[in-house]
Amino acid sequence: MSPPVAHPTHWIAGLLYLAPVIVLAFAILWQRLNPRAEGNGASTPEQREPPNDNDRPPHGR
Amino acid sequence: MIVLAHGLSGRSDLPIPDWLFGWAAALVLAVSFFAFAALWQQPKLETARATARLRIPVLLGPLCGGTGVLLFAGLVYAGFAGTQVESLNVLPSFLYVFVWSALPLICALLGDVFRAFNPWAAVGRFSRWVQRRVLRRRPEAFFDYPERLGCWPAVVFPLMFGYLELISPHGRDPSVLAALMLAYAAVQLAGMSLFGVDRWLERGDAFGVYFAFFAKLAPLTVVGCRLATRLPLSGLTDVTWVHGTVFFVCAAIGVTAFDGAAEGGLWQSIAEPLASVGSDLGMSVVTSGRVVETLGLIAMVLLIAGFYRLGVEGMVSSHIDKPARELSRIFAPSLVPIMLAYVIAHYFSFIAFQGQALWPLLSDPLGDGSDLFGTAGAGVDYGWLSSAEIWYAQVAALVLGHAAGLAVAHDKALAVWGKAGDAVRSQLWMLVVMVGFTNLGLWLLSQANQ
Repeated sequence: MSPPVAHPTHWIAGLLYLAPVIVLAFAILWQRLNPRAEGNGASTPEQREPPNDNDRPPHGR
Repeated sequence: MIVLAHGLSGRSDLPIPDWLFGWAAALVLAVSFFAFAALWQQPKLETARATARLRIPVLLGPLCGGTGVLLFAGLVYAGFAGTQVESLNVLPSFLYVFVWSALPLICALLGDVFRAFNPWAAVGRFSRWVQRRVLRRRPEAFFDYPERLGCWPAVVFPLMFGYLELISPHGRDPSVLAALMLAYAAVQLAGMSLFGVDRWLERGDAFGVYFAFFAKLAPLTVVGCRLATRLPLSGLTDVTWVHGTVFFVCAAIGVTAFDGAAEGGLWQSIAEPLASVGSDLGMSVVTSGRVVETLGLIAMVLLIAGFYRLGVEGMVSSHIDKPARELSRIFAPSLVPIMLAYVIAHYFSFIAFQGQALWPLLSDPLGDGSDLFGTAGAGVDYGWLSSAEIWYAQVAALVLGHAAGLAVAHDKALAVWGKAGDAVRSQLWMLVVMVGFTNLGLWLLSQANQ
């Protein structure tokens, strides 16, 4: 078997190119897991879901 | 002479390491994304309309079609009757340098030039005209085109063309290329007669489908019998996305990406041990190498399709009330500028240098010493662009192409969800996809150029 052509620097260079993608993906995930980081917090999906029956006032139906 | 490597070696004159260009490109795309979010609140591409400008002479269509048929016949003749030395015969260079590498850019600038000169379409349309005007009967297809097939017949093309260009040992033999051109034209004629001219050209003519995508980016189009202008990129809103169209675009990007990867040391380090496994199983070294390369080509196409799908799944996870399959089609137009960016970035030096070789070849198409236009002795000037200038052009093409992809996706999101906030939220993962594709492209180029 012939020796590998690629030097470890090929892999390191690949990781350096990949780094911005990883950073962005982590930033989105972190924002998802920390809704308050979105600013006023009012635009998080969880907070925009319609209220369920338990949330409504007793005479609201 | 055809040079297989599309990049030039040595960029020691770059002021910063090449990977920093990847970081800068990511930053530019992120800034573009937030600029779109802040400044682009209403759909523009979706609502843009073409404006008719000039009446096209009725005879221009048949004239272009006839020219296309003559050019096709001439190239096939050159393939069979000319020298079989690939660098001296016009056919391989014309096909790989002009049609495969330069024509996408021409279509993106001027509109669907290929459609005007498409030889089999010209024959199909002429046959339809004869039936209507001479035989006085309505041309009818033998069968209705099965909608379930979508454009899957065309999907095979990028893969086969990629195999021919990158793997097959006969991919540059003039007579083999001429025979394949005839076979392809025969399939197209059969398809048009079975399923109708227009239907087949839309679904089964892979060359037509491929170049029509680039033409959708162009500021020029044809409306009725008139030449019209429109907002660049707005043509993408007209594309009908049927079964297989998304995969077609991913396959086209994947083939170009594999072309770059195959020139790099990393792929060699993966391919050589795999090929030796094939040899151990009893395959010849050559066969084993081709099997590995074919698997690599397929893997790259699947990687591109998978990465796009990952972005779509990210959108689904953002509480978007649409299934992944639908989102995949809705945002697929954003892949078309990427397809063009990959073609320009990857084939830029190929076009810049080998494009010059077309002049002497057109003057001596058979390689028999003739000099039809007096340019047979023209050489290739390799000095008019430095390797650093090529790199900058490649980086610019990739960044602009992906920024255009982001713009298309943003506009589509505004049209689908109405609210700018929802549109931006849905596109965060698309930003990751765009940065990923940009940096993959840059990394492949840097690998190929080392």
